[in-house]
Amino acid sequence: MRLRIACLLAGAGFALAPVRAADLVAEIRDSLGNLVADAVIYAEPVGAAAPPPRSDARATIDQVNKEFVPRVSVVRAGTQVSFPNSDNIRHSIYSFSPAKTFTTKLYSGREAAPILFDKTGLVVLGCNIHDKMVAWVLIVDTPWYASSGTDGLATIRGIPAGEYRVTATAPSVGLKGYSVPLKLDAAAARQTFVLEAGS
Amino acid sequence: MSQPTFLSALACVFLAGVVHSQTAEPPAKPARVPPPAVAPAGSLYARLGGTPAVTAFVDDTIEKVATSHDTKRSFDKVNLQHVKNMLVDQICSLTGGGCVYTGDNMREVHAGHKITNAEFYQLVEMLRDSMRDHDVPLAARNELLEILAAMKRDVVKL
Amino acid sequence: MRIQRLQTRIIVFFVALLTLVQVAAFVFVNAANSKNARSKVEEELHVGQRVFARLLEQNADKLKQSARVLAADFAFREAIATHDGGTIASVLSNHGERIGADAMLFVDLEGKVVSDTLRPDAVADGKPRAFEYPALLTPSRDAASASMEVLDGRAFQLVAVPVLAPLPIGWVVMGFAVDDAVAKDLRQLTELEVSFALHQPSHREPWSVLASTLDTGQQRSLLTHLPADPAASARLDMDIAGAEHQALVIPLDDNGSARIVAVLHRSLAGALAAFERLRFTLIVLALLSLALSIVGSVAVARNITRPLESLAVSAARIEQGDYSAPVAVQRADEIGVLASSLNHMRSGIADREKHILKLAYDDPLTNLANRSRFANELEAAITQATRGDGRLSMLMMDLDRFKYVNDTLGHSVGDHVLREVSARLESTVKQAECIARLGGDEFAILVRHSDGDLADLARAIIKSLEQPILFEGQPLDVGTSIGIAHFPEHGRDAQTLVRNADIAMYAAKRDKTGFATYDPHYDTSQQEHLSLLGELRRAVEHNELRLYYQPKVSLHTSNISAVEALIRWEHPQRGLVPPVQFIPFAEHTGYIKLLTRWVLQEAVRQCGEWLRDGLRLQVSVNISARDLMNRELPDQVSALLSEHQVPAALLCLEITESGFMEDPAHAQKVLDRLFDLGVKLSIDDYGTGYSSLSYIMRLPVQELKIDRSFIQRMATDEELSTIVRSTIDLGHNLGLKVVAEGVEDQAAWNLLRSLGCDDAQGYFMSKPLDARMLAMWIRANDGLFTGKAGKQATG
Repeated sequence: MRLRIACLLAGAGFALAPVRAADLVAEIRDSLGNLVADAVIYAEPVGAAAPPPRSDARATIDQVNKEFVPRVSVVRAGTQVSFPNSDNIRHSIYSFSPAKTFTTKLYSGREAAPILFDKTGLVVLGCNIHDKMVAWVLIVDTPWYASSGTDGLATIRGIPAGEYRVTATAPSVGLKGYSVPLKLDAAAARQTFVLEAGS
Repeated sequence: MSQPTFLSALACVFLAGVVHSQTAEPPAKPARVPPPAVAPAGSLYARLGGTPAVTAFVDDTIEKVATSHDTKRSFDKVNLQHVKNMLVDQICSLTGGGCVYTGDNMREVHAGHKITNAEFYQLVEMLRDSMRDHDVPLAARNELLEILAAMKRDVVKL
Repeated sequence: MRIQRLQTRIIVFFVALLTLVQVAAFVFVNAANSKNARSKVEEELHVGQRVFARLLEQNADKLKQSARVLAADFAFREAIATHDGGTIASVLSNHGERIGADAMLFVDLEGKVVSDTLRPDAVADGKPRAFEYPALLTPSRDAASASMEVLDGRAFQLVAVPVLAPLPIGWVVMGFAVDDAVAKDLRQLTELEVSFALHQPSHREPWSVLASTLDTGQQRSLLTHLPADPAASARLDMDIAGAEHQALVIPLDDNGSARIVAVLHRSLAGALAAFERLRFTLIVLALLSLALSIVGSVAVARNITRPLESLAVSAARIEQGDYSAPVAVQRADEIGVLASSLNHMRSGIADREKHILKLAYDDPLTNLANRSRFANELEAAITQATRGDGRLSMLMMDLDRFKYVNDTLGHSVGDHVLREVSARLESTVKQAECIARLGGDEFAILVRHSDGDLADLARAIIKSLEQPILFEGQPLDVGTSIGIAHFPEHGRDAQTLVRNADIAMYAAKRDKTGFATYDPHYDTSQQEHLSLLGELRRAVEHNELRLYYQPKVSLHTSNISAVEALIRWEHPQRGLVPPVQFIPFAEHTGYIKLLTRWVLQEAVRQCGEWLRDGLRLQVSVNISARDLMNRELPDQVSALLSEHQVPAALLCLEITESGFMEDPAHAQKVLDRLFDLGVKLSIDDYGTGYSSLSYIMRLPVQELKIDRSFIQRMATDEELSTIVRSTIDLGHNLGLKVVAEGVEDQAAWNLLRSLGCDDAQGYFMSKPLDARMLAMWIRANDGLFTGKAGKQATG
């Protein structure tokens, strides 16, 4: 939710320019035809540069009941991600992903400093203490991204018309992503992605 | 238990607590020294049976505690091997095994778990039984339990 | 060879039986031992297998535990995730050293070996190799799998544990080498030989040894026994370097085509060693008990056969007739019963023998000795007397008139008489060796060491019998005649003595002297008689016998119608032998039958001849009582009559009065038959025998001849003439013709005529004449003889 608000804010800033923008709805399925939840799509403009990130971009990944919430998130590179730890017990989260290698202890009652995710790539978070806690954070360098819900639909709102490379991926369910070039105009676009297994 | 060891253990714990990560970079912490293959002679660690014995009875105790109805609550979803490893490290460092414990202090570890007296004593009992099962001599057992008993304050929160 | 002796048989049987039992027991125990040894080893193998499995399990647990510790280590995971090869290697190495693992590997998600402490060079170059046993790398987050694999030509017990960061990034593989040291440790624990072998079917030689407690040579031997397809646990019997081993082949994990097996085995020699010692003990025991059994069975056998032998000896004695010694076997068992039975038998036999002897040698009636015993005693006495200087004598005696008593008064009376006589003999004859009843009324007495001629004894005996014997109050007179014979004068052997005593007895009887001692003179007549017998036989054969005929002249008419045939013997040496010299002898010997036969034959023939010559004469033939007993006599007579064609009425048979009386019953039959033939019968010598009138009445006789003794003195003796007259009357009253014998003078002739006698016969009329002379005399005198004028008989 907060991510979405952040995204919207970023999008709103961009919308000062009188540019035609539309929504892109991606339907993501797996090779068996099932709808894929927690899939991520993002659109990178081709030829043009994406608007720069906000310096105060913030994201939150909470620890609730010994689980990361959300499990899958997308953030713009340069976002400060905080881990509030709503559990009353401590966590010791870490990641060995090349995009962000870090460890941080989250004690109950104490706020930990947010972590800056500045490189694009996929970051898999774990907890040393609770080894089943896993979260995927996809760091992209574009403001236009979304993740799918259980309906398998991910909607990126207000994408200005133009040529983009749209990538869909669902690493949390073991599906590898791929990109398609997409020309977006003012009309709402819809794209279906069929993701194969792999990483 | 020897005072210097205890003090150094305390110091370690304190240090660990102070120097917890504020930045996103891998924090600088004292290098962990793992449990040795051969326990230092004369140490309580040696009398407990050294790394093989301690590993074994810690392993056994944690398994019991994590599956026992009265105590398993606080081990829900917990990486038991991590706990075992840390506990072995801690016992090793507290009993003159030469280890450097790099885990959190007891207060931090147990904060929020609301461990009860009953649960604590259960654990102690299980540890005692496990040590006995692994042929740890009575004197050494009692020494270790004494040490751990001192931590009760940090563990039990009502 | 058939073993006959009971003792030997018992011994052989028991020894054989015991040997059999021993052998059977030995064989059985031996087999049981061997089986025990084997099952013991088998047991050990199974125990070993359990220990081995436990050990492997413990090792695996140790490895797993260590691997888990490592897999959870933050620094290690960091090093892996950051591809820090050096750190990975050093952490693996340190960790491995801590628990003594021989192989530490890290394998990535693609199954490529990232780090390998065993073969670090293999990962040095840029092309990482695939981990040989991907099956170990389970996708499961929690599981740790373990198996036995071959790495770098060596066997390892491997475990693989996934490493999470937080997603799986690979596996830690740790392993203990399974080498000779491990095998030796196992051997120490299980006391079994341990070998690990690898089966690679694709190889030329599929089996190879990975580790073993055996030496190379033995390993080679082991390999030859391993089965082709080691699918399941198998029990094997192996021969390794000459020793028998029992083995258990345990397949350990298999991955792909290769398979590792563990072979636990144990040589039987050790297990059997204990039993070998036992076997030795058994053999010793067996031999000992065999020896004891031989001794024991000998004792038992002898215990049985000794008394049996003794019994056999006793039985032999009894067989010999020695009933004196009782059987010397006293026991409580069956043999004792047998012995006592034998004893009873012995006394029983002794008693029976006595009884039999008594029967054999005693006369049942009188309890005196019998003939057999007397003969034995006599023989024995003679033998003894011959050896020594003893004298011995025997008396032979018989009872006078005994036959009369027996026949007329009955056998019970006769028996009583005999018993009484015996009693009197026994009481009278004290010095006798043996008093015997030889049979009938004959007794014999044997006297030893006699001095004197026993005349006194004989007289005493006679005197003892003078007293009548009372039978139911009735007195019976019994006299005796005794003959005495002495040894050695009257005979040196029993037969001679007895004969001579007999002769003496008969002489006594004949001479009516009571007793007589044998005199050789008696014997000559015997001898003479014996030769006479032979001569008589010859006489018959050589026609030395003649029939002379004496006419019977009718006192009424002087007619001659009958003659008496009298036998004469013309002996070549002696001349004319009078009948009195051979007839009685013939009667005694039974030769009379033959004589009578000859007489009848000749008489009937002559009668026939006379008849044909026109002379009709009845011929009288004397026959004896013996002849009357001859049942064939009537047939013989009948045959003769028809042969010579003589009418039966012309034949007359004269039998003496006593002759009729001897055996009336028998005589009656013959007489009746003769009567039926038509033959005439005449009572001869009437008045001298014992006849009863009632009997005479019933006889089928036609004639009565008064004995000469009456006729010859009748003229001068009135009593006699009265008797003659009465006899004539009697005869006439009975319807009989009366003939007077021995008419020698005119006075007799005249008297007889006056008395009414029918016929006369005697020297007064004619002496017996031969057939020719008689015919002439009859022609000359028939109807004419009156006495004075008729005296023409030639002298």
